[in-house]
Amino acid sequence: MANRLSALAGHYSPGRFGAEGQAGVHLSVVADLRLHQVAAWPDSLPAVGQLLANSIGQAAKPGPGCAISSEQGAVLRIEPLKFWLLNLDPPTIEAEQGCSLDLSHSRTCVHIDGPQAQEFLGRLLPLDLRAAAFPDNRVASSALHHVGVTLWHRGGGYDLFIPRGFAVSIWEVLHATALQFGLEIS
Amino acid sequence: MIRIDCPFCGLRDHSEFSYGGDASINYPPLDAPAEQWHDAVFLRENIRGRQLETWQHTSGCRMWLNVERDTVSHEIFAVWPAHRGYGRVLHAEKENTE
Amino acid sequence: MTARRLSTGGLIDRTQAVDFSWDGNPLQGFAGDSLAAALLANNQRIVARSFKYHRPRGIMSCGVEESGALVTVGDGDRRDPNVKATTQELYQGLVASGQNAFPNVRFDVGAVNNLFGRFLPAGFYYKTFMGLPPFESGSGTGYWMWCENIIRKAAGMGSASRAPDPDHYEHGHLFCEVLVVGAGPAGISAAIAAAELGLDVLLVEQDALLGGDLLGQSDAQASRDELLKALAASGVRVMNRTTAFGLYDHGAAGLVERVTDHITQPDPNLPRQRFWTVRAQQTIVASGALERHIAFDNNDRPGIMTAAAGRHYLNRYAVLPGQQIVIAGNNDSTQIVAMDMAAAGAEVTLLDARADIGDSTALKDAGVQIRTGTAPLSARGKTLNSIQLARGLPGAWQADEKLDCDALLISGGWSPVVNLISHRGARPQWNADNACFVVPEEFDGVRLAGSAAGVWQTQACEQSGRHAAMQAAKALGKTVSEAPGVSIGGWQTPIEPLYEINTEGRKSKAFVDLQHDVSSDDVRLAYREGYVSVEHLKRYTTLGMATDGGKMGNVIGLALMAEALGKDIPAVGTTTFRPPYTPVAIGALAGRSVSEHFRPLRRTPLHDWNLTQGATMTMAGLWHRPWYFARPGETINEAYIREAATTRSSVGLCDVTSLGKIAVQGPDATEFLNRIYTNPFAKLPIGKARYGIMLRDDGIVMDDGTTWRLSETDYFMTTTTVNAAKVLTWLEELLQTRWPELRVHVTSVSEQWAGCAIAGPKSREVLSACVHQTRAVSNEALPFMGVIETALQGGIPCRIARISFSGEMAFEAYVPSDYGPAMMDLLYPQAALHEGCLYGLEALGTMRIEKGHVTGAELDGRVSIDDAGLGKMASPNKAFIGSVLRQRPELMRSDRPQLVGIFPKDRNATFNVGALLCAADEISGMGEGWITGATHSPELGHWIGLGFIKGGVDAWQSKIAVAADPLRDQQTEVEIVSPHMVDPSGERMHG
Repeated sequence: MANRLSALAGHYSPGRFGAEGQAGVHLSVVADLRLHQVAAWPDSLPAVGQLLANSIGQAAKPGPGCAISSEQGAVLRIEPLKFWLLNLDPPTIEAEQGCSLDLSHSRTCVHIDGPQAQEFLGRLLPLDLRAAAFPDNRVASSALHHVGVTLWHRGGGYDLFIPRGFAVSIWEVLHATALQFGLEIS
Repeated sequence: MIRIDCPFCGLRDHSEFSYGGDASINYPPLDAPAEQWHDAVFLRENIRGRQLETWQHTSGCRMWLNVERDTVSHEIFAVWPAHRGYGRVLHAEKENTE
Repeated sequence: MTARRLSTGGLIDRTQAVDFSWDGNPLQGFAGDSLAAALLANNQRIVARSFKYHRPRGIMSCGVEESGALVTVGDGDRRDPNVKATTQELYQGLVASGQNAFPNVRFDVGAVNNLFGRFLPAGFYYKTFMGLPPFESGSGTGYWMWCENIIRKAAGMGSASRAPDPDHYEHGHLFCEVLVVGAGPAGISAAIAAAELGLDVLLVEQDALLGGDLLGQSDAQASRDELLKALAASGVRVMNRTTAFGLYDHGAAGLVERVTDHITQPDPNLPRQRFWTVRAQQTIVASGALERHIAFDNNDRPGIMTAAAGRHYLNRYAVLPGQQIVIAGNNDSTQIVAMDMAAAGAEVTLLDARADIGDSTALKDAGVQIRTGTAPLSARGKTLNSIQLARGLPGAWQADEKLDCDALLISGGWSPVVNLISHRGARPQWNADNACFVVPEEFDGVRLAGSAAGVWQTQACEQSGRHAAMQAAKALGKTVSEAPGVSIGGWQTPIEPLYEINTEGRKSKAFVDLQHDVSSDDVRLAYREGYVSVEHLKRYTTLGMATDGGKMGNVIGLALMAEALGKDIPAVGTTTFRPPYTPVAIGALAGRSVSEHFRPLRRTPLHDWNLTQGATMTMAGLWHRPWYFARPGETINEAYIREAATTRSSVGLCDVTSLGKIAVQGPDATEFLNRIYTNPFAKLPIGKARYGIMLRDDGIVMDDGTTWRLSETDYFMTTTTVNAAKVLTWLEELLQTRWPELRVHVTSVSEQWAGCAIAGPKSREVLSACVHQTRAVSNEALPFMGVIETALQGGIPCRIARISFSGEMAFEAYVPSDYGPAMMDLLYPQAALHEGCLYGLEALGTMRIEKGHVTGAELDGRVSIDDAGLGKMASPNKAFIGSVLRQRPELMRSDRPQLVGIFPKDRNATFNVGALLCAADEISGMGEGWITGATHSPELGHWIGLGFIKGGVDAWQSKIAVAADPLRDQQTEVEIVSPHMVDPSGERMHG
């Protein structure tokens, strides 16, 4: 099977950039994203949600703007009737229950970490990222530099899902914004 | 800047949304007479004060919303999903968490 | 005037001397100085020339209300004109210069304007220079235009750099429960009180230092330190050098943070400024109050400044404004100024227009000379050296003796800074007792505190801040203890209105708006000419329209108009305050959205691959698409002609990824498609694709595309590139607002798939060599309009449709995006074996024009399906979106422009897109049609075009039309032909 070529391939190199001292922002690119969308109908949402939760060994579906995860994968509730499934293939969904769609190549995922990750994102996203408003395992879709993106607060850091076509353009903005905090790219 | 309380995403800037149109319009069946289609498509009130509008949360959850807004003060009085099925789903979930 | 630096005192850091340059002269100041303070300390009296009359001006205030000291800071690409020296922080190496003067501000030839002042009053632009006497009327425009050229060159103040801005800027977003604007006593107290209740508080201050009025008080060091200590312990987020310039709906505020404007060598990683959008639940505005000046003859002389400004220069910067100081006013606030100046060793005379100023024992003990019932009548000297006094009462002044002085500090009253709350729509109300405009305490979640609420005394301001914080906290649901409010005012002896001083019949040049050179006579001129409403007064005289926003002079202008009208001030009203409160650099508003990031660039997965192959890119919406692939030495014309010819004779490959792609899924997907397309979709078999057209509700064509059926409930819809987002939104609107009963989901998959068109007689050979199973693309397995899901070599999943836009035998192959380049690495070598090529948008356009296939150039929002010659695609057997209104009379007229092909009569001639098609004998108006596409046709060997013309082909059978292009001064005779100019029967696609 041919290798997947990421949208950012050739457009960045690992290293330490910008302000000296401890790097405030760490960026890394998640390779070979495995992402499926599963959508339900209004009446079938509870059942489909439960099915997805079960598929990763969790008890209940994620509520609006929330994520659940385990070692098997993660389920993100990104729209009222739509879920994203990460790192595993979706269970079979009958048309009466809903539908699934492979979106693994449609997004580039950048992981953002570091002591100033939240402050950094505050330069880019009109989102309330304060702890009470956006705790761990919250998901939000918003506009970053005019591009619709999805942000997942995961384990102290953030996963930023960018439409693949805009990945380089957004990466350039991330890079330029991160320099003032001290940037480390791994 | 107007901020709209999306029933799924919460309070967000208007720049995440696209304005739709007049939410008070009931579009007739596709084969309805021309006069009904003419009225639905071309006739609009120009309201100074509260009006019903549709907005879509294009950079967020893509949900279409009905919004009651004052065209003079921009005060927003109500926001709810345009699709009643979405409304039922979100309402049920809200009840479960409360 | 002899201003000088005192040897002790002030909040400056005397251990850090700062070298700077003023008009080329090296000077020194201290860290903590403003540029104005440093200039004053160096006794620079004339620092500017006024806008219109080029009168010498000095430093008039100590803050954002400055109307005099407008200077240019920086040089080269960092040159910044019209900077207020009073708000510019001094830094090592700062370069500042005077502006609006030649050769310099001290000796300016422009002062000749002052001599012609008679001809340059407010509104002169509309009245003067209308023609030389006696030819004044009617034909005077030429002369006026000649004068206008000269006036335009003389207009303006400083001169901006033309070089690109070397700095970058950024945006930021903040959220809080309480936003407090202003870190004076009221603001700091409010912030601390709110934080103590557990609220998340953001405090912003435009100055570098916190403290507000405390910074200008002689004995406030200790109380200021205490407040700042409590603030630091409170957990409040504090941003200094940050101006809240506007308040907006729903608790939003705009801030601009000056990050590096005070730094000699800015860190290149830092933006110069940040534009923050704050979203607060409650806002407390503690923006203080600004002192007004007074209109009297020559009140603009260097050496005249507001009284509290003088006090700030003394106590914050240790600069004594003069040695023989006269202080003049109408309110109690001048007394402490007099005390401080006298304590610093100056000879002080205090004039007060009021007869009674209360207990003046302390003043006398300090050695201050006092004259009540007295005001300045006229200032003398190019820089102030004396004033003539007026005695008596307002309206009945009598000229009195002369008084030598080198500094005049004036106070005409105080105006609470109500701008921000007024942005929200609060209407200021006149408070006669305090002679100022105030705003009700709370409006739209915004509260005023301190002097911004008309509270004058420091302790009362602190209490006022605490009160506002309690009210805000209550509004947020907190239980609070009572903190009593504070009433407006706080002076011992009431203020008495004093706006202009003059004696009966005396000619006087008294300025109201100093930055725009608007005089009191101008206000009366506006009245005489009928511009009596406050909105007209403003715009006719330009009073209040300069960069100070009329902060010092607006109230004077209103008072003078009120007097002329015989009304009181409230009856005249105020104009609307609008953001920004102080000027904001456009760079800050742009943030990082500049140059190549002005809009985000969308790249296809084949982008880098295309560039490696020599593509020249062009914009299609936000996408870059290959335009043409010029071989070495080829022009664009040679390239596209070669690409189109090669594709039609052999094979061509084209990146079609940018087309919109939407997954339409669900049990009701078929029904849904059938309602939105004009042609039948109910019976599209699985494994087939169909070209479809969608209309708008009003019957006009919205978009066209091809939809593939992948399963019972799964469809893959394509749209045109630029309409992709619009179509997705439209589909979602229909499903969510009109047809909620349909179980259909639509999702953009534009990014999921990379697409390549393989077109030409050899296309099947090329594709067969690339798919895993050769037979998968045989004519049997993949007939015309068929669809398969298969794999390329190497196991790359691939979905292929046999569809054609070029009119040749053609396929469109899609692979998941990350495999895009791998797909091209399979296809291109195969194409090369057949001497095929890569082709771009230009050649694609050529081929589709040859075939008469419509694109967005034709479907421009005015065109119906019949106009486009596709009426047969509108099914008579079903209703669909637009089916009713597409048959409204206007859209069924027989004389509507219809799609046609166009040949130049002389086959060697050409014409341009956008040219109008006219009848040969009537080349005028809007003509009979227009041209939408034009190209050289490799197939036909001459220029061809597509367009619309009334009546279509039939109406122009034997008639010659003319392509008229008046903008380019061209006319070409043309023949109107069928739009399907090459292979009209479409044989090549069906092979």
